[in-house]
Amino acid sequence: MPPACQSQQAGSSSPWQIEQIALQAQVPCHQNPLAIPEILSMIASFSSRHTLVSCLRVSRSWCEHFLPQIWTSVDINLQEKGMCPPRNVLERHSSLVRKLKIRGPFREHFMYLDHICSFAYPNLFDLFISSRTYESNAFIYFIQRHQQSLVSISVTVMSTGVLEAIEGCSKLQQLQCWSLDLTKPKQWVFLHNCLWSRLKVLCAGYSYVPQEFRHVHPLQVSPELPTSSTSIQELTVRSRMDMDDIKAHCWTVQQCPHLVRLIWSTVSPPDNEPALDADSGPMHLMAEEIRRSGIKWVHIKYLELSGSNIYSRDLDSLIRTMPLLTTLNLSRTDINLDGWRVLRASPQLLLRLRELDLESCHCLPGSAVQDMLCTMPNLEVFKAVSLSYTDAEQDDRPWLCHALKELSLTFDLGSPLRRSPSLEPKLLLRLSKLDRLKKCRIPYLGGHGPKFTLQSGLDLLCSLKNLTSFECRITRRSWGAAEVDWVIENWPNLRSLKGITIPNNEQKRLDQHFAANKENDMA
Amino acid sequence: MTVILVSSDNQDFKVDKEVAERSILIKNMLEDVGESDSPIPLPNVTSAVLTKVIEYCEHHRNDPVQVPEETDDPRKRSNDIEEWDMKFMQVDQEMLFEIILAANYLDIKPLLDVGCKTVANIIKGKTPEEIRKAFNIVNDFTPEEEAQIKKENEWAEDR
Repeated sequence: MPPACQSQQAGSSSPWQIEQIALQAQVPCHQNPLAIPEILSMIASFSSRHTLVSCLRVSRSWCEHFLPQIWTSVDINLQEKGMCPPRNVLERHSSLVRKLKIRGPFREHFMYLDHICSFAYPNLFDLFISSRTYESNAFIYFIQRHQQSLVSISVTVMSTGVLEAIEGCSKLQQLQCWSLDLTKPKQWVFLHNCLWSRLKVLCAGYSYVPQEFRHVHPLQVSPELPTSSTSIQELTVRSRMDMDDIKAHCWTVQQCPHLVRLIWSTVSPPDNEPALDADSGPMHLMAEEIRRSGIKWVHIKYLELSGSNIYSRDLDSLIRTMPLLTTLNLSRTDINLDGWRVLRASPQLLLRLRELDLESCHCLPGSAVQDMLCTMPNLEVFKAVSLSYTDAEQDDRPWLCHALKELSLTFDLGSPLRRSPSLEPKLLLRLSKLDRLKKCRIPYLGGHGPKFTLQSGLDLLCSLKNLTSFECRITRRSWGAAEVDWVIENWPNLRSLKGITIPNNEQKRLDQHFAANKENDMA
Repeated sequence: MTVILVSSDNQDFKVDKEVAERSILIKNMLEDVGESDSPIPLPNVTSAVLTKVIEYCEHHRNDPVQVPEETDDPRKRSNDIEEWDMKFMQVDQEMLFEIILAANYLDIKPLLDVGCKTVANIIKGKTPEEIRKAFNIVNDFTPEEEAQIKKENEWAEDR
């Protein structure tokens, strides 16, 4: 509140006072917004890196404003050495770098690496180092020198040196390391002592545990360790089919009552070890543990499970502990009709779900997939396979999911005899109601029904103005100029069209339309 | 309730308070002075531009308030402009710049975003020379300097 008005009561202002406030709020009047640094920076934030490089060369003033946008995120992929920034230039702009990603192979480039790791990056907050084959002391010193600024670290290999360097990162909130093994007592102690109370995101995983560390629960090593973490909001764990692993991970998940996202996958044991039998699979054991503990995660919105042997009773146990769940990713599980019955039995869940990913769930029958589209009104993303022609045709219920932005459906191809000519018009009509759709992928729709023309097929879909990608064999005959004109006019944001045969000259026109839209995606 | 906005060329515009309050500047002003029917002078905005700005605010009067983004990370897209906004922005460059300046002055973030996205779309795919020509910018680099900048930053082009 401007000082001049601080003593004024409501309703007692005068025109003079309002004028004073308006005048105080005046900003210098510029003829050209491109002379205002904040506006130039905003324009830069909406531009692709390709465009930014052109903008740098426009003038000295533009160079000054567009340069930080280029150098804020540096991705060094040593497999493409030609596309790495020259080290003297990187050194000059190192204060602009906020995110640094370095990907191997490192052995051949250690000179370059040692150089770029010797620079100071005072504003660096996000570091990603990816290599399984090379550990460099340079990285350890690098992390040590940036302990005051790093907020996020992702490393492939967790050695003692790296671990100790990370320990000193006072602002660290996010740690990703697949070889941080939660069954190793030493790493547990490290995690608890140093990071447990301040990490928000933890991805820990599955490297093979040496024999001597087996059967030792972290609490046996250090019973006084703090247990529950109120800071961790996102947890990714990968369990082997190994009881110790599963128990340690179960225990970890239970210690994070404030989780918002939980991603749990299971991986196969090494070849020389027997797999656990189905009834003692990790999901089942996890569900049993959770059932016993009676815990609820009242903040979890995102659950992703992957692995086999997901039983409906286990899924039921898990879902019940997460009353705010809105996104469910089961794409790499063997969920079946019983699993869908579990979800369907919860009307609140059906209303709540925004995203459901079942992209590789071949055990689900087509009737279940059709049922999903008719029962979840607030879905925004839905991916599934095995929608059957028969169910899609005979089930006359409308699709309720009018909020859908992304739809991926793959038909169970079945026998051609089961498809009737009325199937495709019915499906297109249902699709045409989904006017918020951006991505639509139904690769096996079309091609077996009547030959669609603009009038009978495409025009049904002119309501889908937001489409950015479309994959669907909507017509058997090759497209011509009229269809391409139609697409450019009716789907102005389209960047990708698959499944349709288009002559070269028309394809060129479409490609130009897509290229203009894709320019922004390059970043 | 309505408020009266006065443009720099002294034209009065009577608009609903909730429409005027899409501008954070006006919203704060009204909060500071309380209930008042005094006209609000906007000395940096001409009547032609104010007409456009009010048209935008009328159309977006029921939009939820924009929450500032938490991180500076995601490269925002210039092509996610709503259809209505895209048509609204189909004006000559002078008016486009005036709208951006007005949005900046009146603190209407969504309008400023759309304006900047429109400029980003104009720049998209253009060479430096074409950009200079489009916005009447003088090249103050020597050819050697320009070549040097290209060389130092070309690694970023395909990222």
